Parts: sequence; C-alpha cells; structure tokens
Amino acid sequence: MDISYIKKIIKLVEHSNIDELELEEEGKKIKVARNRNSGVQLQAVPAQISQVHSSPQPEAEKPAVSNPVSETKYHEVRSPIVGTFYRAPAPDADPYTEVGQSVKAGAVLCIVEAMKLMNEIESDCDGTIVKIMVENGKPVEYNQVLFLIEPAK
Amino acid sequence: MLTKEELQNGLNTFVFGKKIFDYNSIDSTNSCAKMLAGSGAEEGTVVIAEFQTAGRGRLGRVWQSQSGSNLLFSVIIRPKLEINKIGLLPFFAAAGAAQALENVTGSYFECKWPNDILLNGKKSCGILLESSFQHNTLDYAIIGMGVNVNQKEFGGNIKDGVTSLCLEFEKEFDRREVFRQIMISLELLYSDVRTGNFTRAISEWKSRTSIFGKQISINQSGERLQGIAVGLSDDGGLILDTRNGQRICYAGDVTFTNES
Repeated sequence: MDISYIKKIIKLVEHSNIDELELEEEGKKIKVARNRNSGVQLQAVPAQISQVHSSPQPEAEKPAVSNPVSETKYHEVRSPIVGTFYRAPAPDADPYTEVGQSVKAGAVLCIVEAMKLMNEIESDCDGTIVKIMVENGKPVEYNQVLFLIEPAK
Repeated sequence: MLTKEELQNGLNTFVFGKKIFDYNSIDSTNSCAKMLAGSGAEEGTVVIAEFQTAGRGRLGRVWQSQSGSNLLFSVIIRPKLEINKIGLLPFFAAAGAAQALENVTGSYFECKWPNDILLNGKKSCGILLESSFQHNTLDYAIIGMGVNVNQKEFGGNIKDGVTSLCLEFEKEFDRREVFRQIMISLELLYSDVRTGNFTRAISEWKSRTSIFGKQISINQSGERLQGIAVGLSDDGGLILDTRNGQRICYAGDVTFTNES
C-alpha cells in the first residue's frame, strides 16, 4: 500500500458522498473518514488491531485517529498527572482492559504511577475501548490521551 | 489479635482512626479500604489486619509479614487537592510515619525517595499509596502501611535489606502504641495537607533524607538515569543533574552509585 495509492483513496473520498471508507489489503488496513469541519482525514492502523480481539462488538475494530484532537467523535480519557502508565495492577496480571472491551463509567482502565503513588484512572463514560494510546510501562505527560472510548448509545 | 477497641483506647485524634475495621486475616488492607472508600467511607477510616493473604507492594510485589507481629493497615483520605499536588502525598505519608517511629523509639528514621522508611539503612516500613481519579479530580487516596514491629526473622531474598524495630532495638514494642503514634503524626501533618499546603510535610521529609548531593541511578520505564539528586520539583518529582542536563523523575527504583 504505497503513498500514492493512499492519496488516490483520499481523493476518491473527498470527491464522493462517502463519509467513511475502510480498506483492508494484505494485512494492512486504512480508514479514510470525512471530517465535517476540515475535509478528509486519514487514519492508519496496525492490522493486528482487527485480529487480536475477540470482542463481540464490531464497533471496537474501528481504528483511531493518529493525532486525536477535540474533533474526534471518540471520548478521550486523559492522564491527570505526570507518571508511568501501567495497563495491569502487576506485571504478571491481566490488563484492566483491552481494545474492543466495553466498559462502564467508574471501571478502572489503567494505573498511572507517580512517586510510587499508584493512581487508578477510571472511565468517565459507558462505552467501548477503541484504542489504547500508550504502551505499557511508558511515561505519560499531564493531560496526555490514554484511551479512546466510543461512547455507548 | 489487635482489636478496634484496643487500638482506639487512648487515641486522641479527631479524624485518623476514628473508625476502624479490624480483621484477623484479609486479602489486602488496601483493597478493602479501596472498596470502602468507593462506597463512601469517611476520611480517616482505617482497615487493619493481622495477616494479609495477598499483601502487596508497588507493582503487585508481595509484602510478607508474619501474622501477629507487625502492623498492616490502610487509611482512607479525601484531601481537597489540586491535581498537581497529588504526587506530594507519598512524602506526607512517609514523613508522618518516620516521625511517629522516632517518637516511639527515640531513634532517627531515614526517608528514601519517595516513600520508603529506613532504620540503620534497612527497610522497616513500606508504604503503598493508591488513589482513584474520576473526571480529573481525586476521589480518594489510600495510604497503606506495613510496619515491621516485632518480626524477628525475614526469609527469602528480602532478608538483607529488611529489618524490624524489635531486631534493631532488641526488644518488643507495643504495636498499639506504634499505631497510635502513627495516627497522631499523620493527623498533625494532614491538617495542612488536606488543603494543599505541603510545606511542613515536605520540610519534615527533607530533614530525613540523605539523597540530595548524592550520585544516584534510577530505573525509569526501562531507561536508566544517572545523576546527582539536587532537589524536589513542586509536584514531587526528583530533580537529577545528569550529563545531559536536568531531568525530573516521577517513578522508578533508586540506587546509590559510587561514581562521582
């Protein structure tokens, strides 16, 4: 999937009435979505997103924008503090949540550790995890987006 | 077994320890306190147990403690803090505990960044703070403490760096008294802390640390940072002078290195 091919697809969407186009080819997947304010937006996703998770909800496989801003239709869960991001309560424990999983408001999504204060970050809406924006064990900044959630309807 | 009545007898605090849930055995006092806090338990509520079947330290590390020998408890607090002050809570907890242990024993206890408490260079008290956020505000924080009081033997690979009051002072201590002193010290510092004023807590902590001016190494998210510890940032990070300029650390294990 080379860049000129992707450009063609963007053009195609731009000049059509299509709002969203999702393509999967040879293990690579892209999604082009029209943004009401600023035309067409490209969303690239690693292919494994569509394979790893056995969630019953197809919605969950929708990829996320690579640079999420307030225009995104997804709900953003941000880090309230500077620290280290952990997806599980302990290194050998299961992650709190996975892409494709549906969560309720108040459910713990991750831990951000600062000064050995383990801060559980909870979801503030009901919905489905669309994307986990940070790798386990990596530092996060104040207000950095940690999760994208597709709010439940 | 330490009972609520025994612990509260002579405890002249207003908030800390006014409500106590006592257990002989429990999975983890922090987990229990979190559940209670989540369902609205008031500030100062304590969960204490003689034994934990799933005692935890940072990142799920196991906290071992002989039944009936030590103090294992968790306290719920609900401070009205701006979010950038949350990282100062571990210093408050460590300073309070160190002060209390000094009151009980008459000896100096050292604070290791950010919240270990050392006696003669060995860990005598471990603290695990956990907190819960929703909508970017702090709902509650749990201060979990394990104080090695009368345990005489430590097994496995932890024995070298760990000690108890009994081992160091060669006598048994009244655990109720140790508990009461910790409640009192925490409450004294907390009157400022709950409104976001950490001045006293931080200066108490700083007076008990030997980290500043030392060459240290921190393992932070897989990256090893080396430098000289020069101070604390406003949000509790450790400021390091490294070869590549100043860096602020927010997590990681500290080791002292000999390199100068």
